[in-house]
Amino acid sequence: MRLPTEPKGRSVGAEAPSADRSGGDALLNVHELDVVYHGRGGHLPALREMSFQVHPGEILGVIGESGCGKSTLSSAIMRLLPPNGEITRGSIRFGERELLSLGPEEMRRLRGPEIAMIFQDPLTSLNPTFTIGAQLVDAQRAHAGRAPRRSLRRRAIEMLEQVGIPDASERIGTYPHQFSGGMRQRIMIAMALLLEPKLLIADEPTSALDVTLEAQILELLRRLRHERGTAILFISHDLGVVAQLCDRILVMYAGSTVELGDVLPTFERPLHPYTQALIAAAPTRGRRGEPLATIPGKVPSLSALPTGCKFAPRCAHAQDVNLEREPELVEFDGRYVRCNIYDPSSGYVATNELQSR
Amino acid sequence: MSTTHAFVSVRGLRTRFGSLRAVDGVDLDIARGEVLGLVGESGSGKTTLGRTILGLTPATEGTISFDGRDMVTMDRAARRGLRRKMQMVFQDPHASLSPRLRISYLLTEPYEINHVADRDRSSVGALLEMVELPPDLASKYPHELSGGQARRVGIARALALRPDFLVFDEPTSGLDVSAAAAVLNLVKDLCDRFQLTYLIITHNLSVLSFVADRIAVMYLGQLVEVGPAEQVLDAPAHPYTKGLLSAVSEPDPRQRSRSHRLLLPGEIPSPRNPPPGCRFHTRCRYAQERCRREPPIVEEVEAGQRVACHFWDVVRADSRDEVAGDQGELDTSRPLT
Repeated sequence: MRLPTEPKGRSVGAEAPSADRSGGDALLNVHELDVVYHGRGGHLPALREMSFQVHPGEILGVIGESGCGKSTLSSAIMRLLPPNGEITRGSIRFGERELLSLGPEEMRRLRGPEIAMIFQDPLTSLNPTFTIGAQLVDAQRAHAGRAPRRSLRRRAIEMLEQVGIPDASERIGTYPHQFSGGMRQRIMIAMALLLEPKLLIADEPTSALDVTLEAQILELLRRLRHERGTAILFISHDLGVVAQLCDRILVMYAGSTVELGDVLPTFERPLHPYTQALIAAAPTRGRRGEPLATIPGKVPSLSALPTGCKFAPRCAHAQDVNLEREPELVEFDGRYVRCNIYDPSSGYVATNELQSR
Repeated sequence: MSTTHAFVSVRGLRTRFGSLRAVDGVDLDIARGEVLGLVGESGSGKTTLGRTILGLTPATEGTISFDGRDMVTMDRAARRGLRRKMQMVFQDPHASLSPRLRISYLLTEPYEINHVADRDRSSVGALLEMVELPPDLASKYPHELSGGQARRVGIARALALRPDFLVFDEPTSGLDVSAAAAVLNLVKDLCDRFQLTYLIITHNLSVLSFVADRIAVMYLGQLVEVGPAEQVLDAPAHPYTKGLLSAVSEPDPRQRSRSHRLLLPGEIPSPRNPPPGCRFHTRCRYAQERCRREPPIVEEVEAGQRVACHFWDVVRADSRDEVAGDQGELDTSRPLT
């Protein structure tokens, strides 16, 4: 990996250092991050100029369709990009440290006690041949040094109880397949929390679950944030979940931020046409029977990104200017939007109504 | 509910796998042209019920009649003919579409299997058009399709035999919000266009609020509430329905401050050993001593709305209060968490 040089401030970067609200020290500060995938088709820009912050105790939701770069973003922060992925520019500060200048060993020590991650499918992260207890003890062993096994086990049971696994002291001796999907997801969360990370990255942690289990996991995450001040980067394609859980929302499209702001104003008056379209497409009990709005076309492939505004080919309001000029991320009243037809004097894009088909 | 107009009629249906009672005494009617939503958590038996109605899983007990004819007693040839009229759209299209076959073959395979005469076949192009897919998709393989496209191919395959009745299992699971909306719109359009009758199985009530005429709620092999979609969604009279509704994450952050947000605690118990009395009592906040002993009978609480709960009147009154409260207090100044 090439280490970043001094980030070159540009557009928002120059005036508002991290495209973010001021005040308070950020726990995670991602600044002008570019990620490229090297492949036979050339260098594909997976992330472009990603800038945002996550504060202690804050839940930031990252939303967008499949292929928008959400998972690349979490892999980049964890420094777990696939071998053909490269961070070509930018900075990822975690507290006082610059993650991009840490070596592999330092990074490994950070994962777990400082930054932990939970994934969509717990079965891919739990080893089917070991008991839950063995895996929960092991996860601590790497960081807890010579602590006696019994205390690590006790801690594991405690953590399982906290995430709502009944009879934890008995069930700790059983294997992953003996648990239901919801229970396995809780075990994953327990494992992630064992070392009390300051930042939890949750990549679609409830997408495979029933709504009832999803609601329970969301409640667990809320409690975690309240009781321990854990910051959470919550990646999802489900607007409902983000609306119910997150403080702020970052909308991604084709590898960059198109909108960033507090959850309430963003849902009440989405600025970017993409955000408007996503919200209009979500089924709600209030809009019963009406046809659901859809977004025509699909997320562009990284090898064929449009030249101007990346969303223009699918945008109901696109004008000629959008096809040539890539809009910059601009601030208005603590909110950020990347749209050519956004009008800073009114604070809104030209057409505000939610487009219904 | 009247039996005279029922297109699909199920009585006393039980499906057992050894000691596991997946469907345990279900009575259900679906009218012609109706969209019935069947909702419940994983393990409620909803998919088994759908499969049993279609004859994909054998029933242990009970009757299933289709357009007035009893499926269980009819001879095999007649049943085979009738089954063509009832199709299932499976949950995971990539698991139900063979990866080594082209879309054109996958779409015409049902004709070969059923020895359908040429004049009764739709062309591949026509089938693709029905589900709003471009004709050039015919030469592709399933892995080349997006999730939404694969889902549409699954629907086209089910439509190939020109069925009257379709069962959808989680039609939008795993799809992005826009792709899910497009599939739901399509499902609804097809219903109107071909006068189809639907059973839509899902764990997510918000899917049903858009598409269903009536909603049936299933818990541990039994129906606990059935009624018109509006009534079930606005004034649920079973605590399980209320619990499922409260678990839906509405895309509206203002609803976070709802004081009545009710979490459905714990998980569904094993259907091998369902709790005595009312099966839901272990997770029910309305449960009394009586619920632990005595299984509730199904009562008609309003025209077309049937509920199996000893305290449905209390539950429904609470639901109505909450709806009224929601309209009054949209206080955006309150902190969100």
